Amino acid sequence: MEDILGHFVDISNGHDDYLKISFMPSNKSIHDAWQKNGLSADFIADYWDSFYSKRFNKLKKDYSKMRYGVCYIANELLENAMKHHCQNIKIPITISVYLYPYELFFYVSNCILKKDSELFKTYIQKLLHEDPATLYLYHVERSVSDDFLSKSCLGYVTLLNDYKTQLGWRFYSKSLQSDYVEVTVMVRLNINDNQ
Amino acid sequence: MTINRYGLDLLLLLINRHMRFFVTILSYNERIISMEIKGEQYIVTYDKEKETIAFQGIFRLLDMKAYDPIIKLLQTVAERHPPLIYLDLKELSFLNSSGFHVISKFVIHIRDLKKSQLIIKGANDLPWKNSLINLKRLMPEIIFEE
Repeated sequence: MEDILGHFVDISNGHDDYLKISFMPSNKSIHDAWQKNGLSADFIADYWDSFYSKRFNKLKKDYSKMRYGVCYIANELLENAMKHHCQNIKIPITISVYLYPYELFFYVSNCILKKDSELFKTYIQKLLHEDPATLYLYHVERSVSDDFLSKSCLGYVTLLNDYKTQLGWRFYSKSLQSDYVEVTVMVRLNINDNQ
Repeated sequence: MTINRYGLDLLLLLINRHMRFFVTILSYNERIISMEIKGEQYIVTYDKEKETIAFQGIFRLLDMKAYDPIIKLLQTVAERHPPLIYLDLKELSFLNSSGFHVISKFVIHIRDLKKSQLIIKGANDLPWKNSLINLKRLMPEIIFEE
């Protein structure tokens, strides 16, 4: 059972230039596991930096903006995955980053409960069909008076609005009876060295 | 712990082991002089004399609840109604979306109180300047400074 939303493109076959990091859920609390996100995101940004810095002028302000963007995107995707991952299922959270000369593809996979997936898909439809700048204003203004919305919900909005990315999702479950769904989010980031 | 109600007070609190931060409030005759929240990778300080709130370091806290002490500090400053409030972000090296949400809500709070002018220092050099532009949408009167 597979459901594709948004601009999801599967490039996992046929492109060798990639980095992949996985971590299994453990008995540690989310507070203790949380630092894995930042460490992984920093490493991905360093990895990207070591290959792309030869082509870019490192002194340019826009280069540090791009490097920050790589780190920010990886961090947001991992934070989301860890918050919503089913801890009791032995499937790892995985991030893969595919490097192309002028773009990067991020893929982050985790498992969520099937009963939560429909609500998530409704939110994705909003992200795909509404203006991200308007969504940002909506979420922030509403959160002032509505504690439920204090859960933020801004991560994907900032990826669309501030980094001009394309987003796509794949929902996959082995059978209709399964209680879990594997979700893979794809983020496509344009790298523009004319900046 | 208040050392002397009528003298120089130092309040030092360890909040809890998960949050892993310290709050320090320095006051004189029950008037706040400075506040500091120190986590593993970040410090937020408020200097009353300069009316400056400074964010330094890396902010990757778990969720909005984890930002509660910082939100309280921001609310305390906003509700004092100073004519100018400086938000110094020059030394802020990373902010996740929950942290950006906290700053966005602070901007709305200042806007709605209509008592203070907000000046963001260091905005022009930040690698996440694109995100800051959103704050202008919330409050066009914000001033961005070097």
